[in-house]
Amino acid sequence: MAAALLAVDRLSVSFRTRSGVVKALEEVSFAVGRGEMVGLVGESGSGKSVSAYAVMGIQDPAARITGGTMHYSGVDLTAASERDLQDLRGCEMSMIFQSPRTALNPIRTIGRQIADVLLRHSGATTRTARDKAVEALAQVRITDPARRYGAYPFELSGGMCQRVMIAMALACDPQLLILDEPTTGLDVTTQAAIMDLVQELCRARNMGALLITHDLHMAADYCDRLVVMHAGHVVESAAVATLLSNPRHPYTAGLIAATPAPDRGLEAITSIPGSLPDLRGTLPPCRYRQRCTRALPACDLPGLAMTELDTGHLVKCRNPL
Amino acid sequence: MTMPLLEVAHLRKLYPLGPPPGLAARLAARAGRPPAPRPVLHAVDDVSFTIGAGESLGLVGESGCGKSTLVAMLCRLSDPSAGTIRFDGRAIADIPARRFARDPDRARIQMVFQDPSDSLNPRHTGFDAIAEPLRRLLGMRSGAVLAARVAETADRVGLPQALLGRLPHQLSGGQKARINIARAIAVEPRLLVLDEPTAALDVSVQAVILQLLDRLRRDLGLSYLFVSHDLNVVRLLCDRVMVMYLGKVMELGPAEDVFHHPRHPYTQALVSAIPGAAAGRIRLSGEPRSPVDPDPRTCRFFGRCPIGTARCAREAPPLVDSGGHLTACHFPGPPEAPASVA
Amino acid sequence: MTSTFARHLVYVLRDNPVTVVAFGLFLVLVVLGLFGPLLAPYDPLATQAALALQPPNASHWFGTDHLGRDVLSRVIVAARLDLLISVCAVTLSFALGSSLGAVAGFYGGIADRVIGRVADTIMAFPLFVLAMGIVAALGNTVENIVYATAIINLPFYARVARAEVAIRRQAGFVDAARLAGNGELRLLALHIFPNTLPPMMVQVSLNMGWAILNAAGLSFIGLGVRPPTPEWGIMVAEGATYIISGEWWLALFPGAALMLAVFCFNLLGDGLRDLIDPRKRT
Repeated sequence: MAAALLAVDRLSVSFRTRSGVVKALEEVSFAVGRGEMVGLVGESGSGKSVSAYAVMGIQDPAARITGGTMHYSGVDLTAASERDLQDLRGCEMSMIFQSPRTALNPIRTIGRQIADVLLRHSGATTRTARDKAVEALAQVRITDPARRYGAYPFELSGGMCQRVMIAMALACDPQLLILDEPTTGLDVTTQAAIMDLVQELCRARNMGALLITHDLHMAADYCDRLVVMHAGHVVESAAVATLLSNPRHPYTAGLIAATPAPDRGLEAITSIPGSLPDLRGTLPPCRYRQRCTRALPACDLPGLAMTELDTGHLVKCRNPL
Repeated sequence: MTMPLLEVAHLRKLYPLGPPPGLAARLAARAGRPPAPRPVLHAVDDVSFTIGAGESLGLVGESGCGKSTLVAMLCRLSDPSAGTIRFDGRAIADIPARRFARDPDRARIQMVFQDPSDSLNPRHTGFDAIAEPLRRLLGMRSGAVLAARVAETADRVGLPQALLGRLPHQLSGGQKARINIARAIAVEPRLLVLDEPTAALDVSVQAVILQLLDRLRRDLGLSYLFVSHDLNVVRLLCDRVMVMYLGKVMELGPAEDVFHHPRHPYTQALVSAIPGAAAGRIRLSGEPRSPVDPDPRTCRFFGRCPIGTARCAREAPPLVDSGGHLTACHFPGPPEAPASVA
Repeated sequence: MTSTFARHLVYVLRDNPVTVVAFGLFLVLVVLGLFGPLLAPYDPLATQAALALQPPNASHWFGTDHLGRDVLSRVIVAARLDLLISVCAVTLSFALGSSLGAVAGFYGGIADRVIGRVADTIMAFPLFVLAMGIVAALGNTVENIVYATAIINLPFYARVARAEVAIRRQAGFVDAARLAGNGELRLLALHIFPNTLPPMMVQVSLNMGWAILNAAGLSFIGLGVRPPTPEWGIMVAEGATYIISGEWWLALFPGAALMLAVFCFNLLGDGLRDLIDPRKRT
C-alpha cells in the first residue's frame, strides 16, 4: 500500500465539561488507503464519531485536540487553516450522517441542495450545476432524477433521503468518504441497498471510505479492514477476515461473541460484563482492564502501546488471545 | 387440541385521512348527497394468527408495515376498526381501550417498550416504576408486601436492589431495560408483548437481556409476541415467525423454517439482507405501494417483488397453509422457482 | 431527602452564578414581604408636614414625600401588597390555565378547539387595556386586580401547558403507565403533568414579574389600590408629578424596587427549572 489517503496518528481529543475533562480519545491511530473501506466499530461512547468529526474538523466547541496528527494526502489537517479545511470539506472529503432527514434542509428542494454544494466547491455555473445535480441523482439510482430535482425532503422516504445525501456527498468527486452510521433507522432491505450502492460507487471511483458502525456484521460485509475502538482507545486493527476469525484483543473477541449470527443459538452468544469506564480523571493504561477476564498484574503498568502481532494486525493488549 | 392463549381473527385498523367532513358537507349529506369518501390508510388489514400458551411468536417487518399498530391493538391501547381478539377465550376487542385500564385482563397482557429511556417516567424511581402496576392492578397497598414483591421482581430480572431508588437518568441502558422488563412481569402476565426490546441497547448488553427474556419465559410460562426488525434476534427467541408487509401477513411459520427456507419473495429478500447472511443478496427495486386505499385485487408487494407477474396485479394472493407454514404468494418457494408463469 | 435537595440546590447555584443573584434578590423580597412592617424604620402612613419633600439623608435614606412620609418605609411595606397581588394572580392563572391547557393538549378535538379559541380571544385584546376594563367593570378593589391580572395571564399558561402536554402525550412512559392500570385522568394528572413542570416554572417566574408590573400599572393609573396605601405603582404615580420640580427620589426608589422585583423573577426562571428537573440531579 502506498502512502495512505488519510493517516491519523496518535490523536488525542478531550472535552471540557462542567464535571471535569473527558478524555474522549487517547492516542488513536488508523489509516485509510485509496480504494479501501475501513470500518470503525465499537459500542456507543467508544469514540468512533469523535474520531470522524475530528478528521472533518467539525468537532464540538468543547472538544480540544490535545495531541497527535492527522494527514490527508500529505496535508496536515491539525495545522491547516479554517479556510483550507473548508475547501477540503465537502469537496475532497465528504461525510454522510446518521439521520438523513435532519441532515437535509427541509425547505429547499433536494436538487437545489446538491447544486449548492457544486456551486460552492466545483466552480460550476448556475446552469451546469443543475445538470450535474440531476446527473448526481441518477448516479445514486433515483428514478426520474429530473423530476425529483424539485422534490422536498419530506416527500421522500428515509432511504431516498439517504440516497440524496450520498449524491450530495459524492457531487464533487471526493477522495475520502466518511459514513457515520449511515443506515441507522433504515429498514434492513433499504440498508442493504444503500450499502451496496456506497460500496459500488467507492470502488468505481477508487475512493477511500471510513464506515462508522456498531454493527460488526455490516462492517464485515463491506469493509476491507476493521478498527475496533473501546473507550477512546483503538484496541485492535486488522483485515476483516483475520479480525473475525482470529481476534487477539479480549474486547474484540467479546464483541464477536455478543453478536447474534445466523449460525448461533441463544446460549452461544455472550455479553461483555461491565460498562465503559468513566472517561474523566485518571484512567488506567488499559481502559478495558475492569471488564477484562484476562487481566494480569502487568496490565496496570504504564507504557501500553499498539503492537504488531502479525503483518497488519495491531493489538493493544499485554495478554492477547 | 388446547385452546390458544391469544386468538386474533381478521383484525383491521383503518385511519381515515384528511379533515373530517365540515358542516356544509354534513348538511349536503343530510340532503341526500353523500360526500366524496375520505382516503383511508390501511395500517393493519385482515390479520389473523394465534399464540399458544407458553409459545413465543416473532413479528417481523419493516417500518410502516403495521407492527406497532397491531401491537397497540393487542395491548388494548387502541381500538381495532374490525375483527376479533380472544384472550384466553374471552373477546376483548370490543372493550374500549379507554376502559381497559380497569379490566381484569389488564394485568394479564403486558408489554415491554422499545426505548427503555423513553418508556420510564423521568420523575419516577425504579421502585416507583415496578410498584405502580402492582398497586394499580393487584391492589397491593401494604408497604411491606409491596416492597417485598418489588425486590423479588428486581431479583428475577437481575437488577441490583441498590439501584431501585435511582431515577432513570442515573441508570445505564441495560439497567433501564431490566426495570422495563421487571415492571411488565411484576403483575404475572400471561402474554408479554416485546416491542424491539433490545434495539436501543449496545450489542454487549443485548445478549444478557435476550437470555434473561428466554429464561423468564420458561420459568414463568409466559407467552411472547416478540416484535423486531432483526431476524437474527427473532430467531433466537421465537418458536414461530410472522412476517408483515404493508399491513398484511406475508408469511407465517416455524422460526427455523422461515429463516432457512423462506417462501415469500419478501421474506427471502429480508433474510438475504441481514448483515452477515450467507445467501446471495436479493435486491428490491422500486418504491413500496401506498397503504392509502390500496387496490384489494393487487398483491401489496407487487412493484417491489422480483417475481411480480400480471396475475399478482389482478388477484391478491391469499394466505395459504401448507404444513403449518403459511404464505401469501402465488409463487411460493425458493427464489429461483417461478419462471414461465404468465 | 432534604439533604439531597440541599445538595442539589447548592449544585444548581454553583453552576449558574446569575441564579445566585436571582435567589438572593428573591430572598430579600420574601423577607420584605413577610416582615416588612417590622423592618420599616418609620410608620409608612405617618405624615409630618414639617419634613415634607426632604431629599435622601442620614435619617431618611430614601427621602420623604410631599406629606413628610418616609419613602424607604413605604417602599419596604409596599413589597407585601405587591407580592401578594402577583402571587395570588399567578397562582390562580397557573392553576386554571395549566389545567385547561393540559386538557386541551391531552384530549385534543373539541376541547382543544374551544380552549384554543378562548385563549386567542383573550390574546386579541391589548392585555393591559383588558385588565383596566375588567377592574372598571368588576369594581375598584384589590381582589379585582388579582382577578384581572389572572385572566390576562391565562392564555400564556394554557398555551405552554397545551404544548408541553401534547409533546409528552405520545411518550413511551405514558403507554407504559396505561398498561400499569392508570385511567386517562390519572395519566394526565400524575404522569404527564408533573413532567411539564420544569418548563412551566420558567413561565411562572416570568409571569410573576409581569404580574407585579401589571398590578403596579393598574394602581399607577388609579385603579385598584387607593392612596394612602403604600404600593409601588401609586408611589411612582404620585412621585411622577414631582420629577419636574426636581424631587426625583419620590418616583425613583419605588420604581427601582419595581424594576428589581421584575428583574429578579425574570432571572429566577431558569434556576427554578433546573431545581425542579430531576434529570439535573446528580
